[in-house]
Amino acid sequence: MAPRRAGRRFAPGRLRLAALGLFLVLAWLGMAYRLVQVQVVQAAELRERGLDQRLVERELAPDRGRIYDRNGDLLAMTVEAETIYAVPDLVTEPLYIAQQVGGMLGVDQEKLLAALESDSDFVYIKRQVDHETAEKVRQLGLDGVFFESEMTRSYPADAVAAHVVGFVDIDGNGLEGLELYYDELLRGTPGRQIFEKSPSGTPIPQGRREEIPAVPGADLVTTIDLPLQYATQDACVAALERTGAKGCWAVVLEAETGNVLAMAGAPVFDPVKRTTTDGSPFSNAVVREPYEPGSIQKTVTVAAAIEEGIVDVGTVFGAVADRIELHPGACESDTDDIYGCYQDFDEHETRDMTVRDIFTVSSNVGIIRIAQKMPPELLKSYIERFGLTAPTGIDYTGESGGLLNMPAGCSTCPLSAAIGYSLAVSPLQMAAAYGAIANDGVWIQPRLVSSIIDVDGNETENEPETREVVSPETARIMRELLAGVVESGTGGNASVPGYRVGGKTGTADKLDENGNYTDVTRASFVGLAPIDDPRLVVAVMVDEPAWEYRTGGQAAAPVFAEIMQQALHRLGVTPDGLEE
Amino acid sequence: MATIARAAREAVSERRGNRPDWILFATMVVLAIFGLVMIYSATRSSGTFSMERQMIFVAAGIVLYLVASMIDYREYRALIPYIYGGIIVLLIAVFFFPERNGAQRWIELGLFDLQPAEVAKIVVVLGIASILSPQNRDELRPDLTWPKIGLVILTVGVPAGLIYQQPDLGTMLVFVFVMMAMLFAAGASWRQLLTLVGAGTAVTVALYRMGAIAEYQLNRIRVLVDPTVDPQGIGYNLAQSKLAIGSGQLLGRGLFKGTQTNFQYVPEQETDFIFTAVAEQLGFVGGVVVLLAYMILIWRILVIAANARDRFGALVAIGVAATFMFHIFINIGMTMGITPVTGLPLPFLSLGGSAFMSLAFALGIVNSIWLRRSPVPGEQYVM
Repeated sequence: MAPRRAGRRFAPGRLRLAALGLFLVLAWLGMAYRLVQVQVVQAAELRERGLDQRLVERELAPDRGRIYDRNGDLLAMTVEAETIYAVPDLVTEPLYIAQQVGGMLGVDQEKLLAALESDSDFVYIKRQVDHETAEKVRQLGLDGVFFESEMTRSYPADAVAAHVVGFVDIDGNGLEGLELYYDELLRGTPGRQIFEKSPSGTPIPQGRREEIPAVPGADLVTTIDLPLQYATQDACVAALERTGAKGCWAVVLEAETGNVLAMAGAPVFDPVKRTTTDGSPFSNAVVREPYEPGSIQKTVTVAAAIEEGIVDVGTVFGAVADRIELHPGACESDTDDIYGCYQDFDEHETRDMTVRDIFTVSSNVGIIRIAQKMPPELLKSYIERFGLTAPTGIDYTGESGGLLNMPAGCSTCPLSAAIGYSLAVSPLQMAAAYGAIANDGVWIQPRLVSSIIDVDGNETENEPETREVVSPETARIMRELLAGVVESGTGGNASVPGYRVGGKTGTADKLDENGNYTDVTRASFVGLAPIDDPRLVVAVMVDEPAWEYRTGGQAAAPVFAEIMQQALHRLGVTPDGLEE
Repeated sequence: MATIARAAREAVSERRGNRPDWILFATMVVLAIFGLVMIYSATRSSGTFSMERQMIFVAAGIVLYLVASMIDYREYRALIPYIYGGIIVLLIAVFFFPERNGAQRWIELGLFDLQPAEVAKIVVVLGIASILSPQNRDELRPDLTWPKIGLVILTVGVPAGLIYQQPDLGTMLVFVFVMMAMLFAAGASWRQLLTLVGAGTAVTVALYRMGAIAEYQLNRIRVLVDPTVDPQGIGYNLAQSKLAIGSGQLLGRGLFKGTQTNFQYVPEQETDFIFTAVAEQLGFVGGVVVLLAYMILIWRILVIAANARDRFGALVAIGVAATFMFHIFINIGMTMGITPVTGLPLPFLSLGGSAFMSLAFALGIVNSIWLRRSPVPGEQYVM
């Protein structure tokens, strides 16, 4: 190729250089075009997406409301605790942590080790540990183990009020008792925090920042009297030991207000470990367990008969035997194929008895003779008016409404109901029914929470429902009859020194799985004091006491006496009776 | 006194045609100072260490620029075999140093870590230019024969292959692009160029079929089409980079006020992704100013190539221009999602000593070519 002359325009070499220049310009225009696209055309959207990724919303947990007893003592509160967690990637000694920390905190060591060696980002070692324990773990200075403050529910009264207060789960959601019933009010409203964060999670100082603070939950003032609650629970625990029963439940009502001063049971429940001493699940038989009440029901039958003018206290029933057959041969039938044999608890000579005698010795035959004088619908309406067929409406979850088996055409059913069979009621329903007798014939809805105090200090009263069930006069007569039971009848064990106490025993055979009656009983005692102007109603139910304690008089009456005495003292009620 | 003054005047006038290219120098210094500001902005949350370090590199780079300007670029030709041999040794030496971020690119010198690949870029440019230039005074424009092209490929291939092993695919591609640009400028026929492109494509396809191209490298290309690829890795980088640039809008969020960049949403924003910091904090205007500065720089280098006194000088300048062009286009393009993500720094802006000093030295050589352009005013060498 011949050498070219210098200076010649558009020689191939120069052309190619120009081509490179053109390439440069095009490449730069391409970048500029893209820059316009990103920074002008898509800019708003990209900026928005950038803000979206930086903005984080964090929920601010509200403080759960506190629960007080009637004296202002704390039953439930929220306190700060520490949650210990691990980031497995940063953990250097999983085995040591599993053994040492797992041991200190009572965590399953094998499970913990497996979690620490897993590829998860985050492992709870234990949540809501008290500061002291957390400090001990902190002292170990372990890699990959972190601490975070978290609120936890604390029950200063421990197990004492557990059956009333209930408990929450680890995240603070009410699971049982008042914690569940009033969950919405107690939990408060979560707040929100919105801020811009850097990738490490720290807030960007000049970024957007909004905060809506959490609103703490409302506080509950309960009607519970903590010392009395303790005494009630104690009496029940003692009853279990004394009678060998499976369970013992008791409720103390203030007659005039329907306030539940104590509601307790045994075996006791630990709200922190969330276990019952005998391993059974949480329960509250006072509110939730309907059972055939037996003779305590007779108060309702006799009150109805007197209120309706069918009998009075002195009405005499001639030749009351110790058993009665509604269908011929019923008492000879071993297999219960013929219904309608009723027997008194103790055999006795056939004799004339007044209504007072019948009630005092709790004669089944006598009560049936009274009931036979009443139309079944009338008896049924009184059972309803005394609140035995519907929930009382107490502020507690899972309340049982009772069962009444009185279909049209069943001739024996009303008579069974008259003596406390063929219907099932809860101890609370029965306590409230006796409350009407105590309260001059006016039934008052029981309540556990007297007032709710919101975060601003506004107090809302819980107003109980009331209704007239019988006349004040009938109520007064019934109280005299009940006092007679304690003074000279089956309820002698229920007497409280210094006070005139009235009440009724009840012993009901339990049904087995096949619906046949067994020798196992539920022993009850429901009573009130002082008899002329009752301040208190106490109902006790002892489930499956040993044979020698099988009656209400033996199993339940002493528990009643114990609780009633404490309650009268707590309320400072002036003694009205003679010291024995 | 008067004598001295006259002598000085004469000295100046005598050198009128050979004044240094001030635009080249000024652009480099302005970019470097701007780079220091952006590096400070990107790293200030952890102190001023990175910026202070880069200041030393900038100072060293300016010295290297001046030194290279003073050396007659033609002197290098005789030394090329030795320099080339030396750089190959250094490229092998990196494999005796510990891996960092999954690559072996550095020679630890104590004061700073040398990246031989950055130096190799200039050495290879000098090597190719020398091969494609006349070997004696009588030869004006040597024929571009296949054996010569083979020698060029070998010259590029050895260091490029070593760099591929580090691995550093991006830097290897710089070599390929620079080689093609220089062959194009040196007058390779279209048939030769197309043959090379065809062979290159065939080799790439073969490597892909053999599975020799790693998944993460493929992802860097896939992500351009589908932003959901590798959301934890390269996809995240790209998404964050675009968010930051877009957030800058027309005038930017203000220096040191880039929420995405100043708070570390964008990774590597003081090095490879520094353009992101510029665009978020100074906006479209800032981005365009940076693009214009680079355009002026490369334009000047191409003008110098056109005015070189000989073919060697012209080709060296073109090689340097191609090096800058490729770095800038790939780097800025990657932050906006139009080119694959590679580890190529943005010249004079990115934090990094080896790249800064090598490119400053390269620019010094270009200035040397300008200073020693045709002795006869108006006469230009034609390639």
